[in-house]
Amino acid sequence: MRIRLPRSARVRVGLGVFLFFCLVGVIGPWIVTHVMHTTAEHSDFNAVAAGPSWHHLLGTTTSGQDCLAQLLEGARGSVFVGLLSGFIAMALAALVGVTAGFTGGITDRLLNAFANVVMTLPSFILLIIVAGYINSPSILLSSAIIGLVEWPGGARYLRAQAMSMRGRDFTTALIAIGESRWRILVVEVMPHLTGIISAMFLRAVVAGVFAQAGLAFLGIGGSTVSWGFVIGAAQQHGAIGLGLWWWYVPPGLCIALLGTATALVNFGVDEVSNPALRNASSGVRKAMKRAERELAARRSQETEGATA
Amino acid sequence: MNDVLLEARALSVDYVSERGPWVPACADVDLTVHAGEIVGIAGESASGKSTLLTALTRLQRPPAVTSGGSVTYRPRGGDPVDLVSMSERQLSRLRWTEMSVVMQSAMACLNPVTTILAQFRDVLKRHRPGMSKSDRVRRTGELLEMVGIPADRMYSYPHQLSGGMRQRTLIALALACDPQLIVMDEPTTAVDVVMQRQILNQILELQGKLGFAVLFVTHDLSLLIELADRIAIMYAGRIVETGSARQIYDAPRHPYTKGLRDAYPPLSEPVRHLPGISGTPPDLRNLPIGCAFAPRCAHRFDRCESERPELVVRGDGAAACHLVEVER
Amino acid sequence: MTDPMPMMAAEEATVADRAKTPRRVGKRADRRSGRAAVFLLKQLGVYVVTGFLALVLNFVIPRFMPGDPALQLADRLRQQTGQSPSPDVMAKIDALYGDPHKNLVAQFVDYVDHVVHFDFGLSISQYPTPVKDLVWQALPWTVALVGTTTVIAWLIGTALGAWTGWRPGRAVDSGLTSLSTFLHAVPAFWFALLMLSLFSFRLGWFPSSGGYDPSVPYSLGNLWFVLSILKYSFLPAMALIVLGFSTWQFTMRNVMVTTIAEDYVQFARAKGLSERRVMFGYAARNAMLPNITGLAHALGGVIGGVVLVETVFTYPGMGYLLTQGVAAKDFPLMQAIFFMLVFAVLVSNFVADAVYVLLDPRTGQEQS
Repeated sequence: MRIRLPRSARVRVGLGVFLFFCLVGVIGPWIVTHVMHTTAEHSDFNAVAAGPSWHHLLGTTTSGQDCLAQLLEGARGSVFVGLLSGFIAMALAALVGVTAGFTGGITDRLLNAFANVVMTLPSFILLIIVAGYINSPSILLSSAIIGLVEWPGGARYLRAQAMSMRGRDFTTALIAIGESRWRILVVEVMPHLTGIISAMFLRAVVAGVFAQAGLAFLGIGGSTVSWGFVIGAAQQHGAIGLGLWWWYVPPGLCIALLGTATALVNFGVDEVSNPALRNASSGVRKAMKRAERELAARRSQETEGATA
Repeated sequence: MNDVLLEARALSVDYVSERGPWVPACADVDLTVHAGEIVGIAGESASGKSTLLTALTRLQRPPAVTSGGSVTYRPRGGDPVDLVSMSERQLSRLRWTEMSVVMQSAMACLNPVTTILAQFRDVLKRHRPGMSKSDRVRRTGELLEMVGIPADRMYSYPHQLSGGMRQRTLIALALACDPQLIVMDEPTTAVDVVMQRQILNQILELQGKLGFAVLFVTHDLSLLIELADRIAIMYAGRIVETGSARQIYDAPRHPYTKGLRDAYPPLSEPVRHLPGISGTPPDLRNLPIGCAFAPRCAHRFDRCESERPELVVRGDGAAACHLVEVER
Repeated sequence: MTDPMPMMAAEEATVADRAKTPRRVGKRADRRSGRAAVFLLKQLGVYVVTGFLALVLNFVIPRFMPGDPALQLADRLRQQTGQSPSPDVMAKIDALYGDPHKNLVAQFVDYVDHVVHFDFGLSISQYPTPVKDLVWQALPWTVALVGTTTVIAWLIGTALGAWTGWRPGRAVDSGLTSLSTFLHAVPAFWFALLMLSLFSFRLGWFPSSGGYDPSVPYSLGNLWFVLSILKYSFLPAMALIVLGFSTWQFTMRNVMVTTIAEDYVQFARAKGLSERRVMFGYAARNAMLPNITGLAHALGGVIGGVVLVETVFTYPGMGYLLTQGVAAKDFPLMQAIFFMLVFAVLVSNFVADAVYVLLDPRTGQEQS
């Protein structure tokens, strides 16, 4: 498959930040061990609850653990759950949505009703309940249950897309020449949806990171170190009252940046598919302003020429 | 018939692009509409005819800009004004009382969430501030009946009307404040042929009765020939031929006009073979140096590819084609 | 917060939810209300099924979890009270969490019987208070907090979205939309912590926990008590409003931008109407419709944020009660709250649907 670089600057920045955090998730723990020569749990008793310094770039916790090491370790937990749950959610969304939209009839109605029902359930509450029954769920289990509640929105959107695909001429033509529906679905329809599916995947990843952070903050996300886990630990050890901002601010900021990056990508994707949004972008507005200035200059020149 | 109502001089419209040069959608357009006259503009899609309309009525949206020329309009009992340089506030006083529009898709033009009456009320409230509530209802009923819609349909929502009714509602709405000019952008393309006929007859009848001028844009030349007094043909953003309806039909000078005439069956003639025009409209970003129509023209010669023909007046019409100059 | 695609879902929902009844021209008013009724009935059907699914989940989850919740409960009670639970209490626990002597169907009937009478047994973390009492105590706090903040956030966000989307590309638009994009991505509990540290610990303007001043007599008739509620609720409310408005602002902004390119807005301009009239009567009036469906569908997500914010501020509502229950493995409490929250979301969804029917005459109609 050919990889094209997206043209929109927003999409590029968003993708860049997203990939950066994925990279941190992969090599973060390695940096902790091999560059910082420490672990997220190691306590430095010479620097307890210390602010940022050269020795501890992001300060330490109340038990002397290095906050940067925790941030890097936590990146893996958060990003891993995000990616895996996002993958599960998207796979389910694609399976249910595209099947429903492309098959139509009673299958469609049943699947759509099911998606509607699951979507109406308050997903985070359901997560809290399920995680609450399980004693300290593993990272895989957390990802699985998060993925299992986050799919319906995507399924409904993909269903609408697949329905419009079904109506297109090329699909009708392929059915007419006797191609099997499933082959058309996989070989012809799915590739048309890859753009949308990948944008939705990013969204699902961030939704997963969010959900995991919430659970971990509440102390029911298992014992894996993650950003939410770090913030929860900070709160429990009174970091807020003690003013140890370096402990709980950076992980939250990382989540927010990751979420913003995804929003930027989605914004860019929306602008590609919606010309009204594109024409409303500040780039077009600036070009219009430039044009108006230029025209005004041209007009005044003409009137000068006429009087001269 | 001799008082000029609207006159465009050397009007140019460009599409501004973020990067790269502007795209000329209309260039050097001269157009005159006299009071009480029906003027038609015909051309394929992307010929710039709709862009021209939005520029004339100052309804264009980014990234379109009027990059040159003037549009002079003579309001009732007032001095001529230039629409291009007018402020939005000044314009809004001319809108609907002087000049109203009927657009292609009535469904898209009517506010989907309010009743027909509410949309008439908006206009009447704005432009006839002295009118009482009951007068407004009466006037709305009157206007609807004028176009053959039962008055009680004013309480309907747009989606509850049939396609033909919606289109006629739009015409009734355009008549609400007795404008001097109604600009119509393909008002009949969204309805079936029978309805098209009905609507055209209605327009002609109302125009005869009320005396407003019409500027009518369509891709269907045969329709204009039956409707319009004068016709202008557009190609690649320029007017390539003008003339009376009769003359355009009997003796078109530009090969493109000929092609356009032969592409649609006249509503009142027997079926015959339609040759049409081969090829596709040119890319406005990349116009040829010579005649824009040359690549599709069966009569082209060397000069057509090197030099763009100017509009040359012949009798009561004009054409932009080297063939016409050769005749001379 | 956890809804991954509020905007797309909202747009899609407005299109997909319209029933596929053939369009006919006839007597309008009664047919319109007929279609609206069909639409509302369909929605009601979805909510009833959802409620039933929640009931089933509540029944199934404890029974299929590793370990036996009923035994765990009995153990916990033994630890808590120092004596074995009475047969009466054990029977109730069995009914709610699985009686080993009965088959699943009989168990389910038992369970539904208890739920219908809103009998979730006694709380374990606050033994022997009935769960019902705890929930009734917490409910008004959450309803008041969520109700006011959601409405305020929706109004602010929708208004700002309409304003920025009307003339997109201005500095106000770019600034506000960027801010919203960022705020939308901020985790609720983290934002709540920041507010807590700044306004409560650093500046000392607001109390750091609770929902009212405990030194004031607990009565709504007491002005000082009501004022203390306002003071104590200020930070949680602000956290929910600031994070909430951003979503509405940028969905409204984008729909508005798309709407002003619609022919009917262009046409309204051609009619020479005042800018205000075009903006409110035509553009914003139509653009807000997806935001209303969005309101219905976002409530499930909003509740998630509320649970976290209440927990941060130890606000005496359902969310804090839930996280307390989860921390103490208080299964009866968890079950009851889950059920109540789902019920609340379903009711508010239905209310939003009804509002939508009033605002969009096309509801229940296939688009042509």
